[in-house]
Amino acid sequence: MKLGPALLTSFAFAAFLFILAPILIVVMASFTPRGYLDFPPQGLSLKWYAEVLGSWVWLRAFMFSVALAFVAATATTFICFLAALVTTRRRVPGKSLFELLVQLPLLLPHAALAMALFSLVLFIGLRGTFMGLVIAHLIVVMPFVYSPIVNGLRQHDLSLEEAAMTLGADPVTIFRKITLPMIRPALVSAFLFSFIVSFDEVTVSVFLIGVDLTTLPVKILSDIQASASPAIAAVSTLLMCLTLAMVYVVNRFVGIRMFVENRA
Amino acid sequence: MKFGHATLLLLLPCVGLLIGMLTGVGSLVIQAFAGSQGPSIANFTEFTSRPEVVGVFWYTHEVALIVTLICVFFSYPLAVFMAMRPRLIYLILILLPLMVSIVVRTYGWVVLLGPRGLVNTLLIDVGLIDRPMRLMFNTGGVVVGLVHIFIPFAVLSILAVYVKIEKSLPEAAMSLGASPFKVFTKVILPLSLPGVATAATIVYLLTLGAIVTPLLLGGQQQTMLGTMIYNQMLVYYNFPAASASAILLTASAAIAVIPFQLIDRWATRKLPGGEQS
Amino acid sequence: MPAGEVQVDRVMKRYGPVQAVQNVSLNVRGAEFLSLLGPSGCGKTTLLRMIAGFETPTEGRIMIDGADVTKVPTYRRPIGMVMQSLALFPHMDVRENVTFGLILRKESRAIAERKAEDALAMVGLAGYGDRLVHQLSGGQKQRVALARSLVTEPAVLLLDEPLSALDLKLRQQMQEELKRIQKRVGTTFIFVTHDQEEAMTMSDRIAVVNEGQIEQVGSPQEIYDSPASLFVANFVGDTNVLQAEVLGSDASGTQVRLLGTGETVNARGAAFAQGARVELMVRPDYLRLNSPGAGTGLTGTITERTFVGNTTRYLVSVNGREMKVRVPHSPQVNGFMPGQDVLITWPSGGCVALPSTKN
Ligand SMILES: Nc1ncnc2c1ncn2[C@@H]1O[C@H](COP(=O)(O)OP(=O)(O)O)[C@@H](O)[C@H]1O
Ligand SMILES: [Mg+2]
Repeated sequence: MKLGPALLTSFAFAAFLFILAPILIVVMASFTPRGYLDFPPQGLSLKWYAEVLGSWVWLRAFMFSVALAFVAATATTFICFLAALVTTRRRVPGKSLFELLVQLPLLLPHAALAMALFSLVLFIGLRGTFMGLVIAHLIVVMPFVYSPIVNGLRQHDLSLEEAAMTLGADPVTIFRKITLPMIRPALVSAFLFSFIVSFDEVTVSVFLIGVDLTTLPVKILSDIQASASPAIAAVSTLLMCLTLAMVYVVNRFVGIRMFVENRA
Repeated sequence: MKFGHATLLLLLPCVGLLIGMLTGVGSLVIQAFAGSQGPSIANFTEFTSRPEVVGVFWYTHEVALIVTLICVFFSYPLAVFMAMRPRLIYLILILLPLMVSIVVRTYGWVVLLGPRGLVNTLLIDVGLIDRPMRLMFNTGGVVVGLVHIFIPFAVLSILAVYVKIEKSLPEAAMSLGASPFKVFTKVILPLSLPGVATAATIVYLLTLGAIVTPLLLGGQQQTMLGTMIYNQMLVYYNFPAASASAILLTASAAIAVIPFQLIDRWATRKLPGGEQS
Repeated sequence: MPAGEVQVDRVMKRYGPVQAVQNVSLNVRGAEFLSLLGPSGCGKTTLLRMIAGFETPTEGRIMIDGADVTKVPTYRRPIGMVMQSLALFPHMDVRENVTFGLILRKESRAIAERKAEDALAMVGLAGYGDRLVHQLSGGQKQRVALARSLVTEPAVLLLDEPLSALDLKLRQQMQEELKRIQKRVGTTFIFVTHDQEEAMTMSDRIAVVNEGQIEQVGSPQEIYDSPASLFVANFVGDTNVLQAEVLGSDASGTQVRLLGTGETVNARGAAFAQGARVELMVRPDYLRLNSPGAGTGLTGTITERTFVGNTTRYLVSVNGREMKVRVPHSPQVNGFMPGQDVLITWPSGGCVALPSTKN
């Protein structure tokens, strides 16, 4: 009986190592002074960071990705919040079909989803534009936003709103002072999560980028195919720092467990 | 607060998104069935008549099955471990990679497995080999990369079900004389099977639809459906062919996950709410 | 100060096929403590929520202090409410909870906080303003909810089983305190409960609700001594029910003959037709046990004896039927033992004749 847990623990740590290894490797590789990736790095240098941060192309892709993720996350959070308010509080005809369709982007194989969204964007004539990418991303992140908000609203005790009403609060006041503060964690978590998903998205975006309009992950993808420059490692590391910062924010404000509990 | 009929209007923006998505799916279907003279199934017969394309189809499902089996096999004990030691740090270790773009994570494998990657360098330095081994641009590389990317999903799916198993159940089984092995096979495994089925479904679907990882880690011989669609669309600009491939991909995905869904059904058949879902 | 009179006028509430409240009329007097008492699912909450304005009656009107409020939204009704879940706002501290209604009424913060402090002092929580909701015990939450709904000085306070989550000791303590506070502030309380003892100890009047209808409204004593129906008799306290036939009946009472034993009994109760079948209700604690031959009464055999502290409960088999008898306990008297024959007697007027439910 003693052997079992010890085996399990060592297995778990090996698994964690496996999961983390490629990520750590990228970080280590980013500090090489050489012009190509090598191991172990001969010395430490920040030259690739300097190159990336001084490069207009990388900065542009970064800012474009941030703008895209911000718009997509904000709009989807708002849209799904409105929808979830209705579906959690009243009978909606066809609700199960509605919720199935909301989850559809998660159920379709990614390549097929990418093709469908490509068709849509082509259909409305927005290929290669910011709006086209925004529309596609709205749909991609929708299931990640809808579920946590619905769960938040389900846990929200409606008798709090009734209590406020007996104390003289009108519907607008109730919404501002009770409903919104109570489900703010769910909204924040939905927003941050969808921001991350949109920011990281590459499979759909690669079909939709324009001539000089590319997201950061797509640029990384094409650079990996084209070169072995350690600049990619530096960008990737910066990206991970950003993600880490966001995860920290999420954990501070709503608790990271929310992500596990709110999975559909 | 009262929600009258007028509040149904609040659904409109979301319904608009859904209509957009369905428009995309619809125009994809129309493209796939478009021929030079009206509707035809030429794009599909073209697909099935070329052995190398059919080969890609079967190869994709083969990889998906292998990746699914490996993911489930390794994530189950990891989920058990995380359930027994519910520490935030372990959860973060699993969640963090999920929040790093798959391009970056796949790039990590390129750095590790590439001709000048860490593994080859080490092996050469130690003297085990004198020329770089081919660690990527083969099936092994693709499978390792995909397993790495999808294992967190599998762990979280199994964990979600596992932690809900009533703690008193294994104890009750032991009090009735069950050995640890029996407790596992008769109580814990059957109760956690729905989580395993979910994990398998998710990983299988994700593998089928993957583009980035097979693109970067696979070679010419390791084309999968995702990369084939990518090539058809972005290299050869053959929209109808890519549409047909996407539809075959989706249809075969729907069929392929049926066994996992049946396992889930069977495992939950006696649980509350198990029969209808 | 408003009187706090509530009139429920032929109110009906349907949920699809379910008749939750059927044609209920009820006049609640100003400053009284009225309980709505009935089993779970009988429509108490629905009635209370219609008074609060959360539900609209399918038919009928609701008036508060003479004004028809049937169509007035909750937040404009002169009411307060303590919910079963208490519904304290978890994102606010105690002070913010209590001042919530005052600030909505445009009170200045200083005055609101002073009033809140007074209200908290009244419920015995002076100085608790900075506490967070989750730092309070069950009883303290109860008090905060009460302070929060009273501080706005509503004409009527509605309470939906607010004590049901508390353990017995604390519940009894809160019952007394609620009663005391109600008398002190002079607000009309409408209190929903399914616990007859709770209703008894707290209320000025009790309205007994059954299947969406009010069966009887009266003081606790009226309800206990003179139940208007078999349902009320059974729901409020323990009863023995015996079948009887009416010998004669007038305004002062009814004379009946027990079926089976042929005993003649004088009972209270409305005028019945001669020869009608009635149910004779008698409380176990009105009955006395004597040795056989000590007078007139029902003879029977003790089948069971249970000592419950302040009383001893006997089950007596009379003519093949079990009768319950409850005798005050005193340490000097040993009472009767199972198997012993006894004579059951009762003071005249101890029985009530009720219309038979089976014909
Ligand atoms: N919103 C509702 N929809 C449908 N039926 C309801 C609703 N609210 C209450 N009912 C029904 O009305 C009846 C009375 O319920 P309620 O007033 O809650 O009873 P009580 O509070 O006395 O336990 C019950 O049969 C209940 O099922
Ligand atoms: Mg109730």
